[in-house]
Amino acid sequence: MMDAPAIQAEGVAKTYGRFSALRGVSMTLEAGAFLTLFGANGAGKTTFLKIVATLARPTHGRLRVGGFDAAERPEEVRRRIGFLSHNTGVYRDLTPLENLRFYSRLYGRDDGDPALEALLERVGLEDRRHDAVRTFSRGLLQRVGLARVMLHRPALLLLDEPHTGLDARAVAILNAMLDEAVEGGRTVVVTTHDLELGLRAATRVEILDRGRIVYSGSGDADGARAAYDRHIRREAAP
Amino acid sequence: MKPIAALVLKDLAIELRRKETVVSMAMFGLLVMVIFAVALQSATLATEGDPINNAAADLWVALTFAGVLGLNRSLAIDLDNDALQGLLLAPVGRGALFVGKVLSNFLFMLLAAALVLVLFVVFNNLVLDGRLLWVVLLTVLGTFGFSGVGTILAMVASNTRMREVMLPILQIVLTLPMIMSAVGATASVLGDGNPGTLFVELVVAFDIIFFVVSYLVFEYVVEE
Repeated sequence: MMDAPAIQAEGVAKTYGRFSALRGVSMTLEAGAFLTLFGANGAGKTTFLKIVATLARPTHGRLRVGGFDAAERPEEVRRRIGFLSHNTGVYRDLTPLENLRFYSRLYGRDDGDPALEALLERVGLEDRRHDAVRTFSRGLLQRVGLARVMLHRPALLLLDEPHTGLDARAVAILNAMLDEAVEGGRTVVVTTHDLELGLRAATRVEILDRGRIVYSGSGDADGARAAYDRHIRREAAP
Repeated sequence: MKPIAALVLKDLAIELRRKETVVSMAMFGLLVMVIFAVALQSATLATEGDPINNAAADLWVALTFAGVLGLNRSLAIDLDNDALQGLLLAPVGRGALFVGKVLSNFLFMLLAAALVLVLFVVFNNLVLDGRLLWVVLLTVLGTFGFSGVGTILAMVASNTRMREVMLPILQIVLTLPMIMSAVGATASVLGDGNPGTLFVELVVAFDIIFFVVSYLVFEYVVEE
């Protein structure tokens, strides 16, 4: 499984009632890649990430993550992924440290407080580690979520519009952590509307439109920009 | 067992901080108990009946409504900030998540039920004897069944627009046969000290059915 692609999707489709969120997405993403997934609202980006994260079951198609079939071995897949969506998945009534302790136990890791505090320091929350998360701003909340996602050192990071609502410092922290992750051989998938943030570190770019991949290319900025203009800016134009 | 313990400890830590779920359940249960006790005592005085005949119904109405309230609050904590998604992303079997959540709900309901039972004993002039032990046992059994099916119904209701209304409707309709059995057993105990084997067996059977079915369908309820 060591050399297996990070994501291998074959004709993945998802329908909700009569609405088709994904219409047969196929891709192979090599381990260690940084994939930016562009798409307008409703293009299917979040649905695709949820299926990879085993939170949603595809209506059709097959998906393997790190060589494991997502339908047959979901727990193995979950062990290897870290997923951060619009909501951070942390408990507002607990402190950042308590949240990390809880998730550490849930992942069967039992990290000691020094390791958890080091992680909180990494996301710039060392001074707020004992404050209830309910007192945090959107940006600080996102940092706690990021620490939660990084806790178990996942091989595949799935981040759904992670830059939304972050201030400049938080964006810098996030970008540094993503760069470190890729340097460490991990795979990153980011969805975003922001062309410049999306292209910053991408080694691969895909554009989703109405549930289909309409562009697939390397991190080549010019090619990706032209495709972005063609498929997203044109859609957004009045 | 570790993930289950982690879940229960997390819920306990939040409850110790908020002190909302158990307190609101207990207060609501006590209120229902008082209102029913006063109303039923007035009615039985007027008809010269024995108030103990209605005590069992009073107890289970209080426990049922308090339980529904607690289930709604318990789920709200996991839905806030989509923390439930964080749980579902953990490499833990869905069954373990379900068991952990049921145990938390069961524990909180038991704590609230203990307070309600104290008032129940006072109102009905009960003494610490075999009858009271049976009432406690029936409360534990009924509360467990209620928590088991309530945990899954709270998840189902969370996907609807009117979840605060939907949960009581689903919960009360589904648990009605078990509540009727529990009321029957409690009334029998309070009457002649014998709970009635059939009633107790029915409560146990509902406990098992509710828990097993909920455990089996949990995975499908939480997945999109």
